[in-house]
Amino acid sequence: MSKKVFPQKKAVTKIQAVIIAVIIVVAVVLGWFLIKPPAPAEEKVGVFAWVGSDVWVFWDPGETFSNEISILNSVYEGLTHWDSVSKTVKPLLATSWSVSEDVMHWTFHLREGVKFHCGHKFNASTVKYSIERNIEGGKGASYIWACVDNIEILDEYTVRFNLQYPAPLDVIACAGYCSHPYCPICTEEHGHDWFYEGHDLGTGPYYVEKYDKAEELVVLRKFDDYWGGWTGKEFDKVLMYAIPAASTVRMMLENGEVFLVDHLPFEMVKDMEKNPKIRIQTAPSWQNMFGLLNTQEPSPLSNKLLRKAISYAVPYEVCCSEIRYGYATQSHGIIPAGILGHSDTLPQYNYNLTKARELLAQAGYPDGEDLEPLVLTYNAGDEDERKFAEIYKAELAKIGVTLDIKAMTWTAQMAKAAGPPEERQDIFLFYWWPDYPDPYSWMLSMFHSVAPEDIVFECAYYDNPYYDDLIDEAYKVTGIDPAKAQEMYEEAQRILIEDAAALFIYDWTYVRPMRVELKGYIDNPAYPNAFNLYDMYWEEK
Amino acid sequence: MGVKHYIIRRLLLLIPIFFIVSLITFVVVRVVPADPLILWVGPHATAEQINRARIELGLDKPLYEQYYRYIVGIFHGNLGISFITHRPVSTDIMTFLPASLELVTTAMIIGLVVGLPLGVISAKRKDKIEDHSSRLMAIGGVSLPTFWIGMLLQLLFFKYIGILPVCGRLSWAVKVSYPITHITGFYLIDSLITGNWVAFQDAAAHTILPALTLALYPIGLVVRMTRTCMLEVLGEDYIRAARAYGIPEKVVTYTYALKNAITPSLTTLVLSFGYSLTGAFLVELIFNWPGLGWYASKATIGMDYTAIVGVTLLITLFYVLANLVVDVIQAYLDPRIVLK
Repeated sequence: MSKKVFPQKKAVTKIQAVIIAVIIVVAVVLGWFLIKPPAPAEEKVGVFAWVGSDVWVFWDPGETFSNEISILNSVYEGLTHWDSVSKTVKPLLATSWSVSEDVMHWTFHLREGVKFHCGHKFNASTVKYSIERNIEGGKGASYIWACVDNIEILDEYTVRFNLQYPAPLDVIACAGYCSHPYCPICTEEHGHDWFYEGHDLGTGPYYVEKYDKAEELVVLRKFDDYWGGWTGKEFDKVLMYAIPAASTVRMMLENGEVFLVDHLPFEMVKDMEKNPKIRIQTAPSWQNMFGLLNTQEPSPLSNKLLRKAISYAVPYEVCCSEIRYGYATQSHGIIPAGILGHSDTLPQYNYNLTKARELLAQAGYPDGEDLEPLVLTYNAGDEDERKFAEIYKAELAKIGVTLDIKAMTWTAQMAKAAGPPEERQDIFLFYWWPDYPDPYSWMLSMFHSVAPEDIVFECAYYDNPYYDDLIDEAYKVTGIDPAKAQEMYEEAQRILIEDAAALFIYDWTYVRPMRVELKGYIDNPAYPNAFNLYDMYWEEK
Repeated sequence: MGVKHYIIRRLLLLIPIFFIVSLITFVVVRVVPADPLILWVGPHATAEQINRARIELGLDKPLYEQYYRYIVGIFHGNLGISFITHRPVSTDIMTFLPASLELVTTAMIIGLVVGLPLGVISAKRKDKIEDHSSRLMAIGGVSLPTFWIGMLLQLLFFKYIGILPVCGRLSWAVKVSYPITHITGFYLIDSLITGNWVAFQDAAAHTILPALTLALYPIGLVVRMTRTCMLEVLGEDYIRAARAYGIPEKVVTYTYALKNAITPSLTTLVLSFGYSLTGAFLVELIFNWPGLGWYASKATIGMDYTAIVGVTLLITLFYVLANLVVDVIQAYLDPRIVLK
C-alpha cells in the first residue's frame, strides 16, 4: 500500500526563508550601526521643558493670556519692565516716560534703533497700532488697556496715552500679556491665523523658528539684530518641550536631556535634592491659593460668625509643610509679598479649634448641630487642592462640621459658581496671580460687587459698597501716590479679613529644578513661569 | 456580487449611525453643567469677554440650533474649533491621528507576531512549562497597568541601560537636521520611502518602548484566545483523522488547526484596534506620544465638546470599518459564513 503524500504549499522553501531572514537581519543590524547619528550642532542649544500640555495656545500677541508667556516674553517686549529686585518699573522699549498731575496723560519716549523680527522698524506708530488692535479685538488680557481713551503720536519716537480715568499706565505697560508692540505691516499682511501657526512679530532677543503642534515643541532662535546685543554666552537656539508626564521629564533632567523644568511634583523635588547634578532654585511668587467663602443666602456661610469659625479650623502651617513640602508661606491677606498693598502687619487667622468651636456656638451651631454639610468645589486633578480639601475635611469634622468635597472639571466648577444661588458651592478653592504688577486685580476680580449675570471669579459673592469705593479709589491714586494706595489696599484687606470673605491659605514659593551647569535663571513674579532666556547660559563645571 | 452589496449596505448604514452617535454625544456633552467658554477665553477673562465669545461662537442659541449648525458644518467638512487648542478639530485630528495609527498598528503587529506562536505553543504543550510561562506572560500583559510597565521600561532602557530614547516620536536633532517629508504621517513609512535612514532609525528607536508597552495587552489577549481555540480544534475528529493519515504534525497544527482557530483571535485584535486609538492615552502620556487618545482625554476633562464629538465620530467610523473588515475576513476564512 503506497503512502499518500499530501500536497504542501511550498512557495518558499525552508532554506530560501532562512536565507531571506538572515539577509534582512544582517541588513537591519548593519544599517543600524553604520548609519551615523547626526553630529551635534556647533551652536549652543538650550533645552527646557514644561510639565503639561496645550501650553502655547494664544499665539496672537493681541490675545495672549496664559502660559505662552513662558516663551513669548523672550520673543516680545513691552514698553516697560518690572524689576523684581528693585521692585520698580524699569525702561524696556520705552527709555523714559512722564505723567500729568491728574494721572490722565502718560507720555512715553521710545527706544530708537529697534527692529521687529521681520526687519521692520519699531516706532510710535507701531505702538499705537498694536495697543489699539488689542483693545479693538477685546480678547485675552487686552482689557488691561480699558483705561485708555486714545493714543497720540507726538513724533516718531514719542507716544502719548490719554486716559478715561487715572490709572498706573507705566505698571500696566509692564504686563506679560497683551502689552507688547508688534509689526503692523506684517500683521496686516498675514492676519490672525498666521500667528497661530507658530509665527511672531516681536522685538525680543529670540524669534520663533518652528512650532511643532503635535509634539508641542517650540524652537526659538536668537535674533541677530536684537537691540540689546549679544555677549556670546547666550543660547543660539532654544528648544521648549511640553511633556505631560512628570516622571518622564524628571528622567530627562537627570540624564541631562533637559536643562530646566517649570515644575515637578514636590515628592520628586525632595528626592532630587540629593542629586549633585541638579539644583533646586526657589523664589517667592505672586501666586496664592485661597478658598472663596459664599457670603450670600442661602449658603449657611452667609453667617459671618460661621465663616470666622471655619477660618480658625484651617491648619495653615500643616498646609504649607504637608501640601507644598514647605514651599509656601501662610498668606497675610489677599496680596502676596513683594507687591503694592501687601503688609505683614495684617491680621491672620491661626489654627485654633477652641476658638473655632466658640464661634460656631455663637453662630448658632454648637458642635455643628443643625448645620448642613458645606460644599467645597475644587479643580479635579489639582493635587494641592485635593490634599487641602481632605486635610480641611478632617479638621472641620473635629468641630462637628461636615465638608462635602466635590472634585469638578474647571469648566463645571465655574459653571456651578455662576449658577443660581441655591446651586452654588459654599467654598471655592482657587488660585490667583496678577495680569500686571498691581494688586487691583486680586481686589477687583474676586471681591468687587457685580450683577449676578456678570459673575465670573466673584465666587465669594461679596457685596460691600464701601469696599468697592475704597479699591476703585486706590487704583486711581496708585500712579501719583503709591503710599496712599498702600494704605487703602491695606484697609480693604482688613475689611475682607474681618468679614472672613475667604480662607487666606498660602502664597506659593516657586520651585525650579535645573541642571547645576545652567546659569542666569531668575524668577520674576510679575511674569509667572516666564523663562528669562536672554539671561541664561550653560557653564561647564 | 453578494459581498459587494453587503459592503455597500454596511457603508450606507454609517449615515444613520453617524447621525445617532453625533446627536447623543452632542446632547450629553452640552447638557452637562460646564461652560467650555472658560477654556476659550483664558484664565482671567472678564464677563464681557465671555459673553462676547458666547455670541461669536453661537453658544447663546438654543441647543437644537447649535446641533443643526454643527451638522451643517460637518457636511462642509467643518468639525468646529477646539476650545482648548483654538485650532480646527479636523486639523487637530489630522495632526494626532497618524501618530496614533502608527503606534497602535505597530503594537497590533507585535501582538499578532508574538501572541499567535505563543498561543499555539501553549496549546501544543498544554500544562507543560511552556504553557505555564506563556500563561504568566499573558495574564501579566493583560493585568499589569500600562503606565507602570511603561515607566519601568523607561527606567530600564533609558535611565539605566541608556540605549533607547525616553519619549517623543523623533529626537530634536533629527527633527531639525533630517526632517521627515510628510506623505502618510507614519514616520516609519515616510522616512523609509524617502530614503531618510537616519530619521527611520530614530523613529524606530522611539517607537520600540511605547509600542512594546501597548502590545502587552494584545499579546496576552491573542495568546489566551489562540490557546483556547487551538485546544478545541486539536480535539476535533478531522485533526485526529489527519494525524491518522500520517500528515506531518506541523502541517496539522499550522495549516489545518491554526486556520480554524485564528478567526476569534483576529476578531478580538481588530476590534481592540478601534479601542486602542483612544484607549492608549496613558501610554501616549508617559511617552509624550502625540496621539489621539491623549487629545481625546484632554477634551473630555475640559468639556471641549467640538473635539469630543469629532473624535467620537472618527472612532465610530473605525469601529464600523473594523467590524466590516472582520466580517469579510471571517467569510473568507470560513466558507460556511455567507455574507448577505
